This record gives sequence, structure tokens and C-alpha cells, in this order.
Amino acid sequence: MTPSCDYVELAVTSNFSFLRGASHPHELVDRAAELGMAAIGIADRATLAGVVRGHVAAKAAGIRLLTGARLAPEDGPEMIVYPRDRAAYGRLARVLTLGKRRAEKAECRLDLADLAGLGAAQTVLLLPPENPIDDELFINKFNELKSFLETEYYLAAAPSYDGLWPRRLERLAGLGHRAGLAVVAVNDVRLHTPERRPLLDVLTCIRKKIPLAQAGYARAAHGEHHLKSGAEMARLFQGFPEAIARTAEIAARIGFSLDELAYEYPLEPVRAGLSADSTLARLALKGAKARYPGGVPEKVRTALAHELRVIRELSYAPYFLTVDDIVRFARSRGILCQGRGSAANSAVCYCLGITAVDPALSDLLFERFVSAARDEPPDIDVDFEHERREEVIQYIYDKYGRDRAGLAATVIRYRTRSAVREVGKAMGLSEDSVAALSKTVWGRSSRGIDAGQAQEAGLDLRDPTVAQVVTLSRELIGFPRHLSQHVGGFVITKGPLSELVPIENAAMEDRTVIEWDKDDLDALGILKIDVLALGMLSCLRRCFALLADHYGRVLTLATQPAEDARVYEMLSRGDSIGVFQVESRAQMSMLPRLKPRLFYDLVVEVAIVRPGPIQGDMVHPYLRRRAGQEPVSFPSEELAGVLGKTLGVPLFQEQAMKIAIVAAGFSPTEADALRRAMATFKHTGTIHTFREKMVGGMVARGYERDFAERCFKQIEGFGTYGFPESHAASFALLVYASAWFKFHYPGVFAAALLNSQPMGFYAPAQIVRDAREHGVRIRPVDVNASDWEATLESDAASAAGQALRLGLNQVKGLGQTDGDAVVAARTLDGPFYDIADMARRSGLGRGALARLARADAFGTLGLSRRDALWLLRGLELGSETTPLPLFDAAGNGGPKFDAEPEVTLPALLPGESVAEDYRTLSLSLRAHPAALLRATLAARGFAPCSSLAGVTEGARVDIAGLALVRQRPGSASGVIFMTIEDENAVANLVVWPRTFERYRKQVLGARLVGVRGRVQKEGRAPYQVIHLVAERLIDLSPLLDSLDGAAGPNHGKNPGAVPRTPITVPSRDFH
Amino acid sequence: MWIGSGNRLAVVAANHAAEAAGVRVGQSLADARALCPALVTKPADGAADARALTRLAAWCRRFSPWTAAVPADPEIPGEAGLWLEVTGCAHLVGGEAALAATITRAFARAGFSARAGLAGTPGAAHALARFGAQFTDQDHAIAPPGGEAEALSPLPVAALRLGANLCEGLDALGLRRIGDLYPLIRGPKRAVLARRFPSLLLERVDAALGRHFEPISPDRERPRFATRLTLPEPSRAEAVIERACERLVGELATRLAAHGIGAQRFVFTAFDTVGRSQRIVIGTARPLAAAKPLARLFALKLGGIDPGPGIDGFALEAFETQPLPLRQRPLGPEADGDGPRQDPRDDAAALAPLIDRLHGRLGRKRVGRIALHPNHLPERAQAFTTADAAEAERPPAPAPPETGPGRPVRLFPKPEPVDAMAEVPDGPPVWFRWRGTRHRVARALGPERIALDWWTLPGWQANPAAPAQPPALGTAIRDYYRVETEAGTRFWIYRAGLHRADAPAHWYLHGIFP
Repeated sequence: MTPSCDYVELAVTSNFSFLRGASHPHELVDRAAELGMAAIGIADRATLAGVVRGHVAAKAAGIRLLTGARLAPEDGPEMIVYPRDRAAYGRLARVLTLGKRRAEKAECRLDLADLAGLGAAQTVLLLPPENPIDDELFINKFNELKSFLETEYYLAAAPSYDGLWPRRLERLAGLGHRAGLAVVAVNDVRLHTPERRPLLDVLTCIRKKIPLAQAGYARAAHGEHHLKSGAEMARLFQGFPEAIARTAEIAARIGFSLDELAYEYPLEPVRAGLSADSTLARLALKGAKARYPGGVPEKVRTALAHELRVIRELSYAPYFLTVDDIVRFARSRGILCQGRGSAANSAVCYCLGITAVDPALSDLLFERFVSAARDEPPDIDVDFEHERREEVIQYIYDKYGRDRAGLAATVIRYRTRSAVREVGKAMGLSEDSVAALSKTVWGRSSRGIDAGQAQEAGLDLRDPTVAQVVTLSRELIGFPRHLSQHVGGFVITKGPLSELVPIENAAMEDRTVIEWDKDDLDALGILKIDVLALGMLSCLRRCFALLADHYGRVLTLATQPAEDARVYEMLSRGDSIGVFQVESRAQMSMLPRLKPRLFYDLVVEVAIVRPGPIQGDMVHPYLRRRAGQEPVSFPSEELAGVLGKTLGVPLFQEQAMKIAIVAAGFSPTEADALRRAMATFKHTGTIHTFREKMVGGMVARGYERDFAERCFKQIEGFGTYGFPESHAASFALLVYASAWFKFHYPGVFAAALLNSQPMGFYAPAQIVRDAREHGVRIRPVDVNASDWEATLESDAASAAGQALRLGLNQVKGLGQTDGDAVVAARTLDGPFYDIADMARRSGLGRGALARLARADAFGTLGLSRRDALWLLRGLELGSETTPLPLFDAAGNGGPKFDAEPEVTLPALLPGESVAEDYRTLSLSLRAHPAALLRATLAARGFAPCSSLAGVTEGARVDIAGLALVRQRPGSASGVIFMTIEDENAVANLVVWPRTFERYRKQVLGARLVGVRGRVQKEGRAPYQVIHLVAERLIDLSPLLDSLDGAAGPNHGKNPGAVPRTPITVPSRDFH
Repeated sequence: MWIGSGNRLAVVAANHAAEAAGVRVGQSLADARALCPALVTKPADGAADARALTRLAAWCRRFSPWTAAVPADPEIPGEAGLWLEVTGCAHLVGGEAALAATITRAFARAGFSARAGLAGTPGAAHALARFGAQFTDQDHAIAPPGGEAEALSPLPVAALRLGANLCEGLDALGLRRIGDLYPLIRGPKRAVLARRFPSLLLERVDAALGRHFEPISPDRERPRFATRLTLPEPSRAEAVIERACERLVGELATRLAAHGIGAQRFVFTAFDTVGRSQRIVIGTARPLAAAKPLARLFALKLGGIDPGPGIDGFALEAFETQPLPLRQRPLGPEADGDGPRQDPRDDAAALAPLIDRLHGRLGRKRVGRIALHPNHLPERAQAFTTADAAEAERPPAPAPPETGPGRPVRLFPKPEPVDAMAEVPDGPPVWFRWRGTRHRVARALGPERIALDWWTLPGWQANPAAPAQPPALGTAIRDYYRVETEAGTRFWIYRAGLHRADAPAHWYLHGIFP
């Protein structure tokens, strides 16, 4: 193909026109470049969501991207609009916003008259009607449009490939002549190559919700709407060379590029007579004095001066003031918050109270955060309590208005499960085959399924449809599916936001979302503030409140006693259930090896169990050096400065970057480009050049190739999951804060954790169990004692003086309105004296009362589960929905069943009680199911989990337990870590991929699992880490169900046996 | 066997081999297949099951004159079964145990596994048949006279046919066995129980224990529609046979109409003097009760009857009977059938007798129709199906979109290869040779590009070891041209695949325009 040609494709639909385009923007751009086009015009249906991807890809490919959109007014012809300058772009974005705000989510409703808002300097390509009958109407509509929108118009002619193309072209030429429109050639592209045709057909089926077999004429007859070369297009437009030549002319005159979007920070209210810079300086200095009552250290003073100078030079002060304002608002409402990420490198942020890492104690890398060399905005991420973040968000909307503040989007893409489900359905697989297939998918995988999984799902591999589902679903993975709102990335502008990017309604009420996601914003250098939600902050706020209420100790994150050796000792034993960040399996087994003693060790701990250091194989060298088994040495003198704090081993993101700079001769900008190349646009294919440059550069400077390779791998790992030191430090603060509570006030900690659910790795059952092991007495849910949340009650017998009372929120299926009603009635008139009294005063419906009864919440009324249910059945209540009628005059309240003869119901067996506990509360205070099954398990050859401690390394052991957690870390090449639990201990299983393939069903599905495996041990007690490498797994869940006595020997054969809800073990799966 | 309920396909019955592989009733079909990939599955046919059960009930009259089928109930698993009132029958085979054994043996010989329950009340017998066998090694369980309470005591409450909700409610209270209920059904506690549960519970317990009478009704015989005619003396005259048939048809039609019943199969039998009988069977597309069309159908076939030495008896029976659908007749002038027909069903209704007559003449399988089938490929744009009345009522498939140069009326079943010379890459042929004759092209229109159905192409393969490979798709196309030869004939001709410099193109003739 010639390197350049005169044809530019101007009508391209990418996959951001959801389910209408079958190629990614970057695929289209790359293909256009390959075909020698100087530019490509991507115009998706009423959206600019894909333009940044296209723009970035086009820059990399060395061609121009024409930014535009395809509009379909309800009363006029479809058209493609390309703005020619920045102002015209802003007007297009505003018109799109108008259409989107008045429509449902993801829809856009525009009338022809709305297009008046587009103004001049637009290039408009009108799409002609299919049928000549409509030509006159088209001309009329065009004249109407022209009357209020004076700009450049063309008529876009696309080959029809239907055998009548020459005639059609003649007709369009005539139409153009009559309307006064120049004809321009397009191919109405939806695919970058014809090989995408099957996927396009499947997308059509998904969109129309019909199976392929019934798609009929809804499918295209051919796949010709792919990018075609200029020569081919010229051949198709034989006799109309001007239609081809015009494409390049049009492209040349569209001067607008997304690079022109100069971003303007919002103007923060500054004090009269003060500039933003001096306001910021004042606030920072005032904050510094508060932070350091004993005088601001010299180091901090210098850092502040330096940072303020850089901020002034780059005019970032308004941004800092904006964040400061938001944080101030949160503090004023008592909402706990803390900055994270690279902002913690800034002394200014610390002094403003945005971050919590003391610059006096650590080496800050302000340049990692803000740098004059790097033309990119700073990024301040602030965590707020997850339950109260909404207040902060609404504050931002209120303050800046919806026309200036919007949430960034998250592009929801097809993952394996969704792709398989939709492709399977479109290809005509039955609902259940599709369900079975998607069941074989682990978590949120994006790797696609393979034929093996299809076989496992019971599909016949001889059927080509199965191969088609496998192949096409893989192709679909990564396609954008819809836009969702980002967890909390706010874009705030000085001018109207809608002139920067279109805004649409979010699914959630009172939310609006811009069309670009975080990567798009980054690529364009647009500032955003991440208002994030962190469950641990909610938990810690509850901890501080409970501490003040029950122990009279008033503390804050800043005044918590620091560096408590006993807290570190607890963590070193791996005793970290519930503690922020370090409660995962991997962290728990790292703690005894690292044995943290100081705050900085926690920073390392947080950062080391991450894909970066693991992929870079840096973990073991660090541990060996820390244990003194290996001398601390540096690869070179120049790196001693970089790696000094971490014993010569790079662990943090900045260190890896610095190695690239110091040892491989990268410029800081290049180093950052390298990190970004890994993190964001993975398809650019530039990674090889970086690799060459870095490894080659280091070897050239005398480093060992092995070390260089490892450093590069580490950067690869950091790309997506990088933890800069500052971020690790921010998190380490919360690790310490939560560990401190866990050690000193386990009851407070457990109650706060239970009330902040769902969060963390463990379910309430494990939190309760852990609290008991730490000497906390747990009291059952009870209508006469429980609040909605878990509470502390004074308890003379327990060491802490307080016992934990489970809350009504623990009862499955009970709504908070009902729970609150119970508590309110009790608070108003004192404890309930019997069930009728309780029912009457609380006003609960029969369903809610039955839930409480089944959860055994009537203990203090002397009623067992069955007694309570029996009495309830006898109560004359209305239906579930109608409120309880008042029986008698209040106070008299004679229950109706007084005169009934007493009935003795069969008592629950111990197993039944525990089973019911799990069903209704997801935990049991009576006994562990494994304890009740111990005899059976022993008879089947399963030893208790605690026995692992006593056997030698390498021994084969059979154990069994409830599956608690399944985790497949991205860094562990497919290894699954599973945690199981029996009555006395927890055991950690390692399931290698090969074992997993064989026992997938057991690993993923078993609630009670039996394992045979080989014991692996590391370290010495009490800092020992024991793993069992699984070799064989058995699903013992039927045993669990037999606890009820329901599953007798004839269960299953018995067609009329009562099907019971299986006993669920609330396991949590991560990946 | 499976049924689909909502989005779920569930196993409703499994044989012993499947059960041995872990397949269970109630499982989802996908789970069952995953457990046993070689599983042979078929959709269950509830109506056929019900019919089979009714037949079995009739067959059981050899054991008792009074039998009935219990239809399946989606609410109560395992409900389907048979009632036999055996009062006074047992002594004929040597006692109740012998009777039960005889019955189950007879079923086993017929290829059914059966469990029998025998008791003094229907409720108890029902429970014992379904739940009693797990307490004995035998395939039957018998409650001795007056021993119902004791026999039922260990059975689960579900044996009382209570439905899932009620069973769950009892289960939560620990009332799991029927015996658990005994203390609560007498004396003052009965009222306590009655307040807490629907009356069905006590009714069922009482009935099972014989505390109140529960009738069972034997299956009613369906009315038979049959007429007979005996001639005073044998006849060989064709006219006699015709008149006999006409008369029987008239009588039968009157009776059918009186019951509002139509039939789809009619059998006319002629008995001759030497004991032979000849049958004429007529099937109709929709239920029929009118004499005239029926007579016309028979008239076509009566010639096939060989009178032999003489015929002296005739019979006409109607089968596959069902209520006639009532239809609103149009009001106004159109009612006479001259006006425009508004309701497309009227067309179908008009077509049905024609289809019947053609069926009568040619046989069911020989009558077919061409239906539109939405597909871009010309040879797949229609489908040939056997015609039945239901087909006629189906809405027509969407016609192909009206773009392109149109398609020939005559399409070859198989495109015929031609030699052609054409301009590359996608010009129409200049000349081509078809069936030995060379045609020069005078005019041409095209190409119309139609891609092959990619999912039918060879090359898709699933292999557990390797990722699936899609076939090459870019070239799986046809370029159709409508050409007019110098002789004035118009053909539809196509090139298979895109032009390739390294290989000659293959051309085919696919149809002829009029």
C-alpha cells in the first residue's frame, strides 16, 4: 500500500456506539494508518465517549483523528458533525449534553431545531435517505436546517454493495445537485477488517435481543463496511473522483484536535484582596503551626516553601484550595477522611490536613506528585467514610452546580462472564447452558473461556456453535458495554463543564456523569478530585465513638498512641483478621516473615504484597536481608541513595522509576511515560521499545542483566497495581490505627467491624470468632437487648468489662425499618414482656416477626425458636403488609392465646440449631458445624485443621473445613489461595492451577470441603506460616446439610421430602 | 426427561443409569449434563404422560373394576399415580399382599417400576405407595385394617399432599413426621392446631386416618362417537355403499355437533359376509363435525372398497375428538363470503379444507408448501415444509428487504458451474459458457455482494487443548450479477469468493429471469 493516499474515511462507527460497531477505536485508527490514510474521522452515535481513545491511538500511529459525533434528530436526517475549532467543539458537546440530560440514561433525544446550538464552524455530512421516495423530504429538511444553522454541508454517499450501486450513486449525485450539496465518499465503516463480521452479527443479535438463527434480515448481508483503501474506494466511486478527493480536503480543513482542550481550574473563593496563591500559602502555614505545636521543623519549612513555589509556577493553587474546601466540609460534619496516593508526598497537603503522612518523618518526593517537568495535573485522592461519602458528593454538586461539576465515567467492558452469557444467548444456547458456562468462569476474569470449560459445562465440543461461542466471546471481551459512574472522580471546571465533554444522566438519581473515564482525563491532562469511599474509615469512626461512649477515652487518628510494641507483636504473629489491608491470606503469611516492629515496617508490609515486587521477584531478597541472612548491598553506588531505605531492594513504585532514571538513563518524563504505558493504554504496543531501552541501558551501564530484567518486570507489575511509598504510608497509618483497636479493645473493634459490613475479607462469622478468641464475650441477638447495630454491654465477668451484643442487623432479611421499630418501641415503653406485647408494640408484620423467631431472637422472653414460631402462628395478626390491629386498649394488652393448652413441640437437635443459626444469622454462637460433624469427619479420615501445626513439613494430611475465602491474586499465575475453617483452627490451602482445573467444581462450589494435601511450613512458631498444598478436594457440603437431620439416608430418593434452604457459609471470593 | 420452567430447564425424570451417574430429579439440566456428559435427554411431554397414565388406569381394570389416574401436580412432587379400589378384589388372588405383589409384578413385566400402598383409606394408601416403601424392603406397603395411624406415623408430613408451603411451615416447628401431629389432632389441642394452619392439614390427616370419608372417582369413560348400520341383506352395489356411508356420516355429524365436538380422524369400516373388514381412514387438518365436507372426503376413497361376496355391515367411528373452537362470524354483508376478508384466519380456514383434500388424495407427507425464511442467501431464503392447517395459520415470515436488483423466479436447486470471462476484480462476465453453450453478455447489473452464513462454514472447531480457530471469512462471499445475453435471456450468475490474482475465479449460474 502506498504510504499516503488521498482518501480519508469520514464515517466510522466504533464500538463506543454500543452494539453497533465491532471494532475498537485504536483498531480502526491503526488500520487506517496501515492503509495510508492521513486522518480518520470517528463519529459515534450521539457520544464523544470513544474519542480520547482514538485520539491517543492516532497520535501514536502518526495520523490525525477528526473528532466528531453522529447525530440523529428525531425529525430530520442523520448526520455526522465534525467541529472545526475549539468553540465549535464546545457547542457540539453542549448540544449532546442537552439531548442526553433530557433523555433516559445512555439515550440522546434531539430535534432538528436543537441543532441551531451547533453554530458555525462545523463540518456536517448529511446521510441521504435509503429510499428515493424520501428525497424531497430530505431536501426540505435540509433547507430548514440550513435556515438556522449556517455551516458547511456535504452529502455522504456510501457504497451499497447491493447490485444497484452505480444507479444509487447516480441518484445521490442528482440529489446533491438538487439540494446544493457536494457529494463526499464514505464507506460507513463499522469494522476494521472483514473478519469482524461474525462479531458484528452477534452484536446486532444482542442489541435486538434475538438469537442468530432468527436474525434474518436484521443482520447485514455482507461485511463490506470495513475500512477500505483509497484505491478501492476510488474504484467504487468510478466517475466521481471529486467525491474521493473531497475527503482529504475536508479532513485538512478540520483543524480541531483534542489537544486544544485547555483545562481551567475552578476559581476558589479567596479572601478579598488575596490571590489564590497567597491564600494557599496562608492556609498552609497556619496548618503547619497546628500540626507542629512545638515549632515547624526546618525540613518541613523548606519543603513548604519549595512546594508553594512550584504550585505558584504551575498555577495549581485553585485546585489545592478546592480540595482543601471539600476536606474542610467533611471535617465540619465529623466525616472521617484521609488523603491517599501520591498527594501524601506533599507537605502542603499534610499541613492542609488533606493527608496524614508526616513529612518530617519521611522522605517526600514532591516531584512524584507535582512536577514542572511533567506536563500533567496533580491527582489528589481522598478517602471518606463509605457510608457518608454521599454527603460530600452532594456538597460538591451544590457548591459548583451540575454545569460545572460532574463525575467521571467508568467504561464498563465485557468480561468473560458477560461476554459468554450474551454471545451464548445470541448463538442460541439454552439459558441453562449459558448459566452453566458462566459458572465455570472465575470472578471477573477477562481471559475468555476455553473449550475445556465448555466441556465442563456439559456442552458438546463437536458442535461448531460451541467453538463459535468460545471464539466470539473472546473477541467481545474488552468491548465497552455501557458507561457507569466512576467511584468518585470529580471533574470541576471554571466554565461550563458541558463545553468540555458531554454530560449524561447516571443510573443513580441525582447524579450526572461525563462521558470520559479516568484514563481519558489523564490523557488530556484534565484535573479531577477523587472522592473515594473507604469502609475502614467508617469502621474507625465507630471505634472512636464506641471508645468514647463505653470507656470514656476520647481519641482521634492523630492522637492515638503511636508505636505500641504490643500491637506490632500481635501483627507479627499474623493475628490480623479485620485489620486494614493486612488481613488477606498473602498479607497474613507475610507478617510473620517480615515481623514489623516500626511504623515504616508497616509501610513496607503494605507495599510488598503487591504484584510489582512479587513479579519483580524482590520479596525474597528483601526478607533475607531483613532477617540478616544476606548482606545488604547495592547494585551500584548511584543506586544506594535510591534503595537505602529498603535494604537495597526496590519495593516502591518511585524506586523502580528512579532506577530507570538513574541506572538506565531515562529522563523523568520518559520514566513516567513508561509507567503510564503499562497502566493505561495497553494496546499501544510501545512496551517492547521501553523494555529494550531500560534493560539495554542498565546492562550498558554495568548492571547485571538479571537485575535489570527484574526491575523491568517490577515496573510491569506496578503499572496497574502500583503502590507509591506515599500511598503505602497513608494506608499504613490505617493499618496501625485498626490494629491498635484490635489489640487494646477487641470488643470495640469487632462491634465496629460488624456494623460497617460489608467490608474487608471476612464475614461476620469470622469476625465474631476472632473476637471470642481475643476474650470478647458475644451475646446473641435478642429483641429485648439488641439495637439495630451491634453494641457493647457492660459485663462484669469479662476482662474488658464489656460484652458485645449482636445487632438486629445480623438477622437475614430483616429490614432496618423493622429493626428500628423494635428498638423504638422498647426504648419508649420498656422491655417487651411477651411475644404478643412485642408484636403489638413494634407493629411488625408476620414475615418480620417470623424472621426474628427463626433467628432465635426471643431468648430473653424464654422462648425457643419453635415456641416463638408456634405462638406467632397463633397470634391474630393481619397479613404481612397490614399493620397489627390493636387488640385491646393499650396497657391491658391481654394476649389471645392465654387460655390455650400448652403444646410441647419436638426440641431442636444441636445440629439443627446450628444449621438454623447459619441460615438466619450466618453465624452461630453455639457450636461450629465442624465440631458437630467431627465424629463423621474422623470416621472418614479427616483430621482437624489444628493438627497441621504438629505434623512435619512435606507430610500428607487430610483435613476438612468450611470454605471461607477463595482468592486468586493476579500476581500469582493462577494459584488459588483458599482459607478453610473448622471448630479450632483455620487452615490455608494452596491450589495450583493444574489441581484447580481438575477440582474446579469443588474449589468453587463446596461449602464444606475436604482436602488431601502436602504440608508446607515456613519460619518457626509463633511466627510460623503453614500452607497445605491441595492435591485432592472433595465436596462435603451434603454432610453440612445433614446437620439438620433432614438429609437422612433416603433423602433425594424421597420425592416429597421438604427441600430446605441449604446452609450457606458466607464465603468471600476475591481475585 | 426435562421440562423448561421459566429460564431453567429441570430434570423431571431420570432412569436408573442416569441416577447412578448422579442425576437427580429437580436438578438443572446443565448440572446434570456436567455430571454426565453422555446423558441422553428428551423434553418431557406432560400431556403424553397424562394420556399414558389414563391408559394404565384402564389397563388396571383387570385388577379392579374401579380405577382412576392421579394426574401430576407441579405443587406436589411425585403426585402422579393410580388409584385402585380393591375392596372385594383381594380374595380373588389370595389376599392383599398377594394382590399388591401381583400388581407390581404385572407392572414390572410391562417395563414399569411401581410401588403399591394398600390401606383402608385413600389418603393412607396414597401416602404408603409414595413414602411407605422406604420402611420395607418390598415394593409394596400395607396398613392392616385399622392400622393406618401406626403405619403413617413414621412417614414425612409431605405424604399428606400438603404442598411445599405448608410442609415448610410444619418443618420449622419440628413437626416432620405424620406421627408428630397425632397429639395435636384430638381434644382441646385440635383447636390450637386449627388456628395455626389452613384447614387442609386437618382434613388430610382425618381423611388418611379414616376420620372422615374421602371419595375417589373412577375415570369416566369418554363418550364414544360411533355409528353402525346393518343391511338386511348383503349388497355389492357401489351406490349402496355410498348411501350407507352418507347416512352414517350424517348421524355421526349430528351427534358430534350436539356435543360441540369435532374429530380429526374418522374410520369407516365395511364388514363383508365372509368375516373380512375393510377400513377407510380419513384424517383432517382441523377438528371437523360437519357432514358435507366429511362425506366429500369419504367419497374420494369409497371406490377403494372391494365388495367381494357382498357387504352387510358398516361402522363409522370418530377419533381424536376435541371441543370445536367457537368462532365469531362477521356481521354485515361480508358475512356471505363475497366481501373482502378482514381476518387472515379466514384465509387459513379456507385453505384447511383444501389441504385436507390434498392429504386425502396424495397422502399426508406429499403435501408441502414453500415458506419464506429470512436469510440473505438465496437458496436459504425459503424453506419447503409439509403443509398442515396450523402452518396456514402462522403469520408469514418477513419478506426480504426491497433493495438490490431483485431475484429470479426460477432458482436452481444447485447453482451450476459455468466458465466465464470477466473484468477483474469485480466486473460482470463478458461471456460465459453454460451447459455447453456460449453466451455473450450484452448488459449486466451488479455486483450484489452476499456473504455466506459464517456459522455454517467449515473450520470452526472446539478442541479442549487448543483455542478455537475461526475460518477465513473475508473471502466467504458471492458477487451476484443480473446479466442479459445478446440473445435476450436473463440469468443470475455469481462469482464465488473475491478475485484472486493467483487462481481463476469460479462462476456459477444460480437462476433464470423470465
